[in-house]
Parts: sequence; structure tokens; C-alpha cells
Amino acid sequence: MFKILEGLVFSSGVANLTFGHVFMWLVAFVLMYLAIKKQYEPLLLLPIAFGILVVNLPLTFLMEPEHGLIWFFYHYGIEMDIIPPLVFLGLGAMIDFGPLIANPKTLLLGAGAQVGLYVTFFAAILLGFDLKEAASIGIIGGADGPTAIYLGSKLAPHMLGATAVAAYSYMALVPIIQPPIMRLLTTEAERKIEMGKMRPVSKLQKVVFPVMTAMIVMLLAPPSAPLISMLMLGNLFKESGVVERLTKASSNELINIVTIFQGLSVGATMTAAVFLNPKVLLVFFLGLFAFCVSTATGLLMAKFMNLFLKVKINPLIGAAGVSAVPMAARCVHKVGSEANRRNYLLMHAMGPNVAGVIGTVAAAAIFLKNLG
Amino acid sequence: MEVFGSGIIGVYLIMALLMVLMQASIKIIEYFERWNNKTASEEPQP
Repeated sequence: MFKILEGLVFSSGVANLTFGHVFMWLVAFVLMYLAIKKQYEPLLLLPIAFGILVVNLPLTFLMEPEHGLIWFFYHYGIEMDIIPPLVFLGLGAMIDFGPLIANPKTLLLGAGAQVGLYVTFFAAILLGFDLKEAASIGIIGGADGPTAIYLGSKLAPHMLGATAVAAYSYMALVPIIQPPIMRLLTTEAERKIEMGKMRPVSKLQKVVFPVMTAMIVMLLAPPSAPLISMLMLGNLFKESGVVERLTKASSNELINIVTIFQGLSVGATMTAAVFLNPKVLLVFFLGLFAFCVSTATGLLMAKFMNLFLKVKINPLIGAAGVSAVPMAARCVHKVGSEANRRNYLLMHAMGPNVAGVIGTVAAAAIFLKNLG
Repeated sequence: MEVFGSGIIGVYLIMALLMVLMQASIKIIEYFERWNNKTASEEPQP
């Protein structure tokens, strides 16, 4: 009887618990708290947190290659590049590129915000990361989860959990991180600049946009193909107006299903052995740095453009050049309306915001071309 | 340094080219739509 009990205890997970496992549970509980109580990106943080929790229960072998359940999700979904493009298909079916088509100059703001990625890439190398690791840290500044996962899984899969959690955490913290930088880099007069009504965009322009963008971006940066093709296909579904069922399926059922597997798989990469490493702390620090620099460079790009524009733009919209759709645009609108009650910047900020998505994919493609 | 430089230049190049081509396509579409509307309004009513 005693032998049976002894066998039961020693073959259980309890006997194999380590401090690292317990620490990772705490990390999972903190993320669950942020997702449930604070509602910070709950769609992603909740499955990520649960993935962290279950993978750090000893002897479950959920991430055991060729055997573990979550390993199969991770292998076929993330490693084989299936999930991030499917998320982009859903995003494309949800995003309205109208504000960008109404004001194509805002594409340059989307490019401006990507400078932060490269500054962070440089900073990460100076701090001892290798080129591939530095690129997957830099991409956090793009504030685009699927792209960060896509690039991370190709260049630095051992850091995927940390980079993905950092990207989604900072995206959720946009309303806290961005406003001080916006106020610091703009004057009261600049924040008060009113932007006129947007040019109306016809249906034909909206239908041509995804086709043209897919062709141009993929011709110039072929490694962007998996992401940009799916993003633009989803948008073409939406704007064509003839495949309502496909649009609905992409923007609801499909994206919801793949989000579950994406979150769970990414969370499950964060085992104690991988996460409890001083480098991970640096990843979080550099991710925050990337996000701040991207916000700043987007703002500075808008100010630079104002030197040449006859009709000035409100430089705050440059901060929306980091992807984080639509939180960054909402944040710009809030700061702008605080300075001037008559200011309605939301739709104007959506232009650089969606341009940021394209810009981040382009930046990731260039990283892949150079380092992949 | 090469990755750093080519990355920044590459992103700006892609976005700038996309901007120019988008502006050009908008002009063409607007011209086409105006022409289309004009033709439609000139058609005799049955």
C-alpha cells in the first residue's frame, strides 16, 4: 500500500516541481489578471497565460516534440507559418483602408514609425544579442503581434514567447505609453492643429487598393508575401462586397479559431528554462524602448512632413504609425481632443495606423531577406 | 550596419513607391469615374 502511494507521489508532477515552474505560474497568473480584470488584450493574453501555466506543470509533456498536443499546434501553426497569415486574413477583412486611400501621404508616417525598429535592432546588438535575435526584438516596436510572431518564429524561435508577450503587452499599454511621448515631442500649438474633412473614397478605389498594394509590396519585398497576400485578400473580400460569407468567416470564425491556437502555442514556448534568463528581461526592456522610439520617430516624421506641406497635418497622427490598430489611433484622438475640443483626429489617425501594418510587414520582410 | 541602413531605406522606398502609385491610381480612377458619370448622364432617357 505504502509502495503504491510512494509510486503515485514520485510519478506525479508535484514531486518534480521546481522554483522555476512556480515562478512561471506567477507570470501566468499576472497575465490572467491583466487579461480578465484589466482587459488588456484579453483575446491574446488569456490563451497565452493559460499556455504558460499548463506547459509549466511538470510531466505533462504538452510541448514534447512529436508527442505533445500543444507542440502540434505550435509546429503546424507557428513554425510552418500557417497561423500568422490566417490572422492577417481576418485582419484584412476587418480593416478599413479608406482613411489611408483618402490621404496616401500618411503611408510615409507608417514608414517613419518603423525607424524605431531599426534603432532598437542596433541597440540590441550593442547589448550582446546576435543579429537574428536583435531583429526579432526590434520588430516589437512595430506593435504588430502576428508579424512579431512570424518573424520571431523564423529568426529566433527560442525567444518567441518573450517577444510575443512583450509585443502584445505593449500594444495593450498604448494608452499609457504613448501620451507622454506625444506631449513631450509636440507643442500645444501643434496638438491644436485641426485637420479638415477627409476626401471621400469611392468603392472602386477601395477595391483596387488591396490588389495594387499586394502586387507592389510583394514585388519589392517577396518575403512579405505570406502576410501581405493574406491581409490584402481579406480586404478584397470585404471591399468587393460580393463574398459576404467569406468576409464574415475570415473576420469572425477563422480569426477567432486561429487566435486560440496562436495564443496557446506562443504561451507554451515560455517554459521556465527558457524564460528565467536575464536576456528575457532585456527583451522586455528593449521591446518597450522599441515601442517608445517608434512612437517618437512617427511623430518626428509628421513634423518633418509639415515643413513641406501647404496644409499642415496634426503631428500627433504620426504616433499612430505604430500598428496597434485601432488603439494607437484612439490614443491620438484622445490627446488631440484634449488640446482642442473641436479636433476630431480618429479617422485621420487611422491612415497612418493601417499604414503601420503594411510598414511593419515590409520591415519584417527586409529583416528576413537580409538575415533569414 | 548594412542591415540597419538597407532596412530603413528599404521600408521608406516601399512606402514611398506605394504612395506615388496609389496617388496615380486614384487620379486614374477619379478620371474614369467622372468620364463614366458623364457618359451615363448623356445617355438618352428611354
